[in-house]
Amino acid sequence: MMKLLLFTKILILLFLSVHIRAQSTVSVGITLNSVALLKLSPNSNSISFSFSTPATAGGALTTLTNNTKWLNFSSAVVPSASRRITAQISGGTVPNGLQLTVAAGTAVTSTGTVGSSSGTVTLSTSSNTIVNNIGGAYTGSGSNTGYNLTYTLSVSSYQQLRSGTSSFSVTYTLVDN
Amino acid sequence: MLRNLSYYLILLFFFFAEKQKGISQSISIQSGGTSWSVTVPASNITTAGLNYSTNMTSATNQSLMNISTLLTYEVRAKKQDTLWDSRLELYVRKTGDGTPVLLATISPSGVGSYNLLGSSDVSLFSGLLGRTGVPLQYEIRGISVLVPVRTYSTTIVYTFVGLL
Repeated sequence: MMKLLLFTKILILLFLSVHIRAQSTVSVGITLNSVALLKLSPNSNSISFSFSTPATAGGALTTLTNNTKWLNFSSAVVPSASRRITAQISGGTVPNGLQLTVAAGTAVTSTGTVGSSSGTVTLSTSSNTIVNNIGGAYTGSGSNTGYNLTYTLSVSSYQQLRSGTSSFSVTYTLVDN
Repeated sequence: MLRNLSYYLILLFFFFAEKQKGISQSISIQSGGTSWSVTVPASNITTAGLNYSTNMTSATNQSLMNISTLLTYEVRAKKQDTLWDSRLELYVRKTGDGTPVLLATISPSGVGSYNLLGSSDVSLFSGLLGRTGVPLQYEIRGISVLVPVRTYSTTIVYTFVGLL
């Protein structure tokens, strides 16, 4: 009886210990591409500035501002790379005697390496960086998300100032550093 | 008498075990299904400001697995990364039962749920007796512009564990 019990134990142990293992493999790859998308929200429609006549003779023209536009972007970059957003006047010039600046605020409701604002930048026909060190990030789409832009139009020289209407564009570009 | 019978049984058991190890117990992936690679189109992002919102999913029969065994088994899977970002999640599931030999069983049957693969084995399915052409599907989740741009690769290791 003892031998039978011993034999049963041995058999159970052997049964549990005999596992057969075999392996097979499948390779998996995924390629992520560079992404650089930029837009203005709520739209790219024109902004109009119009100086009002001073209330009294000798009064200054009041500086005008507009902060209705938001910059939205999606950016995917290779490791250690970064991007910046530049702005420049195109399709015309700012009238003599006036100065137009733009300032990107702080990125809101955005995710990732969203960069940082360069503060207030005077716009010209040369490209100027307004947001720098953008990595992999997305801001969300629409108003009230991303970078809010504040335009300020002021008189820089009354001597050069002439009445009239001018139009020009501001071009924003998301470029690699 | 009993002692002799015991010896014979033990010898028979080991003979059977060795035969199974050498001949019948295996898994294999049918040729054509041993790799899956995919490129995520940037056009998946429909407008500036958005992130990717889609997962990349393979064909439902991207890999076909053959299982050869005479008794019970379990198929497990894990991944061994060559270059991988932890934000990318690789899933695998079986989408069918393949063609069984007579009296074979498999659990779960039919379409299984997705299993997230990591560095440790997870159980995909188990069964009794062999079958061919068990279809497997892959899915990568967590695709994001936050993940650096490059090509990532990993290897799924399927392990067959047969129990005599």
